[in-house]
Amino acid sequence: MLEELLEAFCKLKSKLGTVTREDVTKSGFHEKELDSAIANGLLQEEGGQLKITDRGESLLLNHRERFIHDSIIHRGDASARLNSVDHWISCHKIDRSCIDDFYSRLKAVPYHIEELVPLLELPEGREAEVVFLVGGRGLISRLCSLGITPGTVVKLLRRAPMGGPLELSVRSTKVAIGRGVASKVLVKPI
Amino acid sequence: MERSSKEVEITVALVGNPNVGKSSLFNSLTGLNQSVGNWPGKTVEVAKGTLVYKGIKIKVVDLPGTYSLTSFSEEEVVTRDYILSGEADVIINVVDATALERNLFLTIQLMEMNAPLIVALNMIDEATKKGIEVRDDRLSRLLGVPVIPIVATSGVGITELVEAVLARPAKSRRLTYGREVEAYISQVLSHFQNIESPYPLDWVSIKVLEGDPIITSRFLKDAQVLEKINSIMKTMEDLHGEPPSVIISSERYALSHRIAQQVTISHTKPAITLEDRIDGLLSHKVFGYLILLLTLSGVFLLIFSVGSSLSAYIDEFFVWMIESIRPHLQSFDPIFSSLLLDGVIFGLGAATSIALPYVALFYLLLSILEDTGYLPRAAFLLDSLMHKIGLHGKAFIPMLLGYGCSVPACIGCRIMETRRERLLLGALVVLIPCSARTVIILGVAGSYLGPLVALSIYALDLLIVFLIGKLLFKVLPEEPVGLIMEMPPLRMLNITLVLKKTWIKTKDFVYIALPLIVLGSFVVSLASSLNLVGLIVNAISPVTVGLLGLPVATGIAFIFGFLRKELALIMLATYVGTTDFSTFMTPAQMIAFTLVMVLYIPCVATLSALIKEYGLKNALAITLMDVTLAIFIGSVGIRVLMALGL
Repeated sequence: MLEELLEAFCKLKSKLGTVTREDVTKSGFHEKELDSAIANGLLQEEGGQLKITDRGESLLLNHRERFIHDSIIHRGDASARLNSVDHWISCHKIDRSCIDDFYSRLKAVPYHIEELVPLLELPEGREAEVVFLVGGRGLISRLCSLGITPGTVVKLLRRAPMGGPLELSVRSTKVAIGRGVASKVLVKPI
Repeated sequence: MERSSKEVEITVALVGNPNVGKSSLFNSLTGLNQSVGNWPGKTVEVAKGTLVYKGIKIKVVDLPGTYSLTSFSEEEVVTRDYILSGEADVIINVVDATALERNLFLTIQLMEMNAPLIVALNMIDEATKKGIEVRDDRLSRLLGVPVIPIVATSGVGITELVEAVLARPAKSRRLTYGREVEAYISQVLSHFQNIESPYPLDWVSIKVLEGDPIITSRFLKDAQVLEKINSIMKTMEDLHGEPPSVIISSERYALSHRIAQQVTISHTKPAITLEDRIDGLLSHKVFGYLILLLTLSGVFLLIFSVGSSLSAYIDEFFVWMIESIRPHLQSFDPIFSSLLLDGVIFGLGAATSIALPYVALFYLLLSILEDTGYLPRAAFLLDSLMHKIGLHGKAFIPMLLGYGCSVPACIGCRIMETRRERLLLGALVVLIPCSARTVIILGVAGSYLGPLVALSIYALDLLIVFLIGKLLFKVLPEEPVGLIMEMPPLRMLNITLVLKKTWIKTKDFVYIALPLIVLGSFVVSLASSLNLVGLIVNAISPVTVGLLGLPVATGIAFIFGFLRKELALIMLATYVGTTDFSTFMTPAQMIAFTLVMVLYIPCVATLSALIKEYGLKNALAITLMDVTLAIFIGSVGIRVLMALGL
């Protein structure tokens, strides 16, 4: 519950810059929930502005990390849930170089993390904004050079059957990407 | 002696995304025969040519197509190093007018390097057809470099482009990014003031920020500076939540998006076009595979039926010619007559009977598949199958090339991203029956045992390739690199271009093959008149007779098959003295012989391509694998077939 509030806070923060008590309650949260977040030392009120504390941040990151793990790295298999990014990166042979910036990128996701889905799960014909790329420098660089950068709107044209690739429309060109790659691109459906 | 005027020479390099018509422009400029195809990653080797215009010699260099200039892939490094070397006086950036936003991403990076740039705005005809108007004057103003609209395939704007080259554009200047990114760049730059660099310092700073390993290790030797720069990168990451390389890429794309919007006017609303419908059908879950199956079987059926009957006519013609000349020459000088007729003319006939019907036909069909843009669609459909052997969909393209000739197939493996994948694919494509081996399959199994047997051998070979692929994947396990591939637009066929391309490719084949075949036939007729062949054939009989259970004479086919596979049958026929193989081989032997011939060793031209691509050690390992495989399959095969009573 508190994670949800922190997610909402983050989204507001990236949209508005500064967040007040009112902003949070307007987006559907009760005063009581906000108070309990402050009492738990997750948020701080300073001169009418709300700020996230270190504790809040680590809870938020933990939450997001778990989401990424469950939705991308080890989809659906709760028994295989691992403790930390460090751990799952070594277990799933993910390129090490992506861990360095993983947390700071995760922190800056401008949406509720639950609003994101792997590109792989986007329905055909649907448009979405690219938000987060999980992967090593090589993969990210290849995606970026074809125009799949965070913030880009892509449209899923079709997917090949039997575990085949996906065809996207990106910046008025068409690009095919494999399922493995598509599962590492988190998007926000529009 | 003094020359009255010094010869002026300008070097021009062509740079651009894959599949934007760079090769077509290269051909229009130089009249040279660089092959062109509608699939990404065609120019795998730097091609060079020259043209003379108004008495000035212009050297043209076609660099590999690339989307970006990082150091993550070989093409990017090759292109980048060439531009940095300053060898080129002018860089022509070929840009696809129909996908301006994606193409300008590279233009912006070229400007970071202060390249002396001209933008060749290609495919303006296609853009017009799509209702897109690109204001080239406005683009030129925004970029600060000359922009020349062209149609590379038909030659529109080429003269203007050459004129612009002669005018020698000034060094381009980097476009300014957002204020924030600029601040980071100048922070890095401030640490580089005392550094000696042959490259623009702005560019070095950007590359360092991007974490480019090559540039960083070269320019960041001071540990203190390194630490400071790392902290700048950390700040960027913390503020934006993206690594600096992604922030800079996004910045470039934002800029190219803005420029593209300012210079393009769309006259028609994007609606579902006929092209979209056809594309949908070609990549359809059911129909797509049906079309793929029909296309591929159509290609092979055409080659088998038309190829073999055409080939037979050509053979007959040469036999008729030889036999009608022989009586006249024989009385003149019997040895000379034999060397000329059975050596040179016979070899010439053999080369023609393969090159024309099989190779030319294959390249004609391939050119059609390439130019329409069908190949990437096939790669899209076959991606999941290719993953089973540790590769991705693009690997299908070199495999298909392998049915024509193994040499371009080996070179085509460069479209794969990592060295490991290239090696894996290289080992597989040499096992694909090329035109020459198709001749053997059809000539032995096909003509004596029926087309069904020939087809089964083809299928068996494909199965072997797949199994070897699986095995190699097990031996060299690694997470397969995912597919990321541009799907170029489908295009209408230009018959003239297709024919021209077929001609160029066939000519290349003939240039390599013809001298070897004629020389080979000559050597055999010489060796047989000296009774040398028998000695060698007997020397390898433990393998041919002992292990494979084949007639001693087949040794000749294996020896000459190394030179050119299509030689093997001719040599065998010459040596045995009959073209009727059923007189000295049983059906089981014919099948085993065909199988071994298809698998046993890459021909000399392929071997040299393998050495060039993968080094001597890997090339020898692949050869050893093929020989072992061939002997194993052959000796098991013949025993199984004999047990079946064939």
